[in-house]
Amino acid sequence: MQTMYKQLIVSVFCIGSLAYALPAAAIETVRMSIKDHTFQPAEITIPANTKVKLLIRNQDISPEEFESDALHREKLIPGQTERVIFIGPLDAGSYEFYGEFNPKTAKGRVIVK
Amino acid sequence: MLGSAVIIFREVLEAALIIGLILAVTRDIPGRTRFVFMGIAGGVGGAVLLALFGDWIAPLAEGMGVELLNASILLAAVVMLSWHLVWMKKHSYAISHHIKEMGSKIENGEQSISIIAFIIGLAILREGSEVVLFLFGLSAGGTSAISLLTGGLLGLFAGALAGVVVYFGLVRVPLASLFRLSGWLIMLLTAGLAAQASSFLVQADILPALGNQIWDTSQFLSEKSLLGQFLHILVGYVAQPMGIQLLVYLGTIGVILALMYLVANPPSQRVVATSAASLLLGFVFMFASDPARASHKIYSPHVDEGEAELEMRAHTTFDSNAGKNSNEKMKFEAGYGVNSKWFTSIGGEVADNANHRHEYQATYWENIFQLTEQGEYWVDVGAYLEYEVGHGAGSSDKIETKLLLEKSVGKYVNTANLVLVRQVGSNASNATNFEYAWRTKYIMSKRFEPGIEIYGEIGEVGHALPSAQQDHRIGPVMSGVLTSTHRGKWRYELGYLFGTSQAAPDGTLKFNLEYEFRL
Repeated sequence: MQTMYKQLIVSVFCIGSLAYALPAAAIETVRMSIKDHTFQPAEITIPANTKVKLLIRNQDISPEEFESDALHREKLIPGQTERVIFIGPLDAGSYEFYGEFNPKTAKGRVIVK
Repeated sequence: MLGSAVIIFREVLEAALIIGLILAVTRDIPGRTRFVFMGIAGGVGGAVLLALFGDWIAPLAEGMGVELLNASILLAAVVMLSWHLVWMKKHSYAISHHIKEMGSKIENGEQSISIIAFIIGLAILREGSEVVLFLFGLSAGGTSAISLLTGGLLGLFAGALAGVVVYFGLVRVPLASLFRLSGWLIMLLTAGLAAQASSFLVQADILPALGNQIWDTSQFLSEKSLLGQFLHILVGYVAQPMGIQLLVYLGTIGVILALMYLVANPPSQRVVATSAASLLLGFVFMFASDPARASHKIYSPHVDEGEAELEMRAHTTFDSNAGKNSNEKMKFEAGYGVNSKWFTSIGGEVADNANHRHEYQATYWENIFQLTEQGEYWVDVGAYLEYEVGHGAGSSDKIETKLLLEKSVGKYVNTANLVLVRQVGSNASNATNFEYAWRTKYIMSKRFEPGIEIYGEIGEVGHALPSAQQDHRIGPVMSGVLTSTHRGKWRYELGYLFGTSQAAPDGTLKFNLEYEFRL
């Protein structure tokens, strides 16, 4: 058990440092906000086969979880904070997303051209 | 209020099902109750802390702190659960082999018991912090305390109920059969958690997606439906899986099964060391090198009855023309000699797509039929039949047939494959293409067999391409046994092919690693 914990800590640390070592390339940033439990804008268009940085600012007081099965992303965005989500590179098409905490109002899609 | 109850139910469900399953499996271990409560207390405490320090963690690693944390928590749970499974296997091995010392330790529950606390704690930690943040946000948003409390409790209660149902469902099963059943259940659960972790690592841009959507069954069974969600947690069901999720899911099952096999059949230190080294070599090659279009392997017409094979093949190309440079392809397959005439295997292919991104592209079924006995006639004859299902947009299925010929002269073995390939299904071109492959190798020793391989793609049957557009490659190849024991042997193959026509890349590096054993 002892050695296992050590290995565990080491591997967690390795994953962490790997993330820091990754080069930060110039990536196009798309901004979006959450207001009154809706995404604004609810539809964004990005180029195909390109990685894009999605910067989402939650202007509500309550938290929201950005979730998309098509994009394979889920990220909690606490009230009045900003979070980053990288999406792509993707094939052309339409990818739906929604807010898990307010799925009726918070809906949107990413159009990839 | 009902809305928040539903959300909390969803977040609580995963932890509740995992706890229900673990409790049912460990019900014969005395004194575990203390550890269960320690796990729950630790998990809830950790979740609150995580929620409080979320603002501090999130910006780490360029905004990917939470993803890395989630992946780490999931991977920690994967390690613990795998360890638990391997331990259970060792336990049953010890009992069946009357190893007393080992057995008494297990009766005391010394080894496994503290792990229960960790698994339960980890199960609560991740989703728990989201529940805390959610409730926090609601209260800040002015929702009344009463409404908050009832909504939260209702969701918590419903989630816990699901865990209780799982627990009592499993407790009805007699312990002996539960051990077997739960072993499989925990293995699938673990593989599902590992796939979920890989998804977070893709989100954090650490792992490649290997294809954004290998298939889509969301019309048939949505992950958002109650059943879909149950299956997602218990067996890792994903309606629109990425290639990496599939690979990690199957890989986790493979690794757990291999470990379980190893504790029941302990090998010598030397074999462990060599096996680990060869595997490492294989992975280094896969990830460090930029790996080719066509698959370069020569098939012999001989079938070995009762032999099982696990194989990994990787190719990469080199060329000054970017379109022909670093085209990578990897294949993973498992096969078995059903009888003395038929060897069958199933495999998956990861390759570069048009945009030089790795993608899980195909699943295939290979069959080799030995038609003559070795040495019966002047030349040994076999047949090969493959069906390949292509995944992803614009792909088609493929049928490949080969005539396998082999002739041994002294220590020289000559093998020829004559290949017909036809695309079928949607997007299929209506052509049947002709290809050939030749190998002459010299059996210097078991460990080292140098040789020469030649591959060619001529074009459509009856309409050969102009010679510049044909693909011809030739080069040196060495193969042999890396290490062998009474249980099985590791075989390697390493080769470099030079392109001899304009359409072929200047160079192709190929590497195969194979483990052969008897079941």
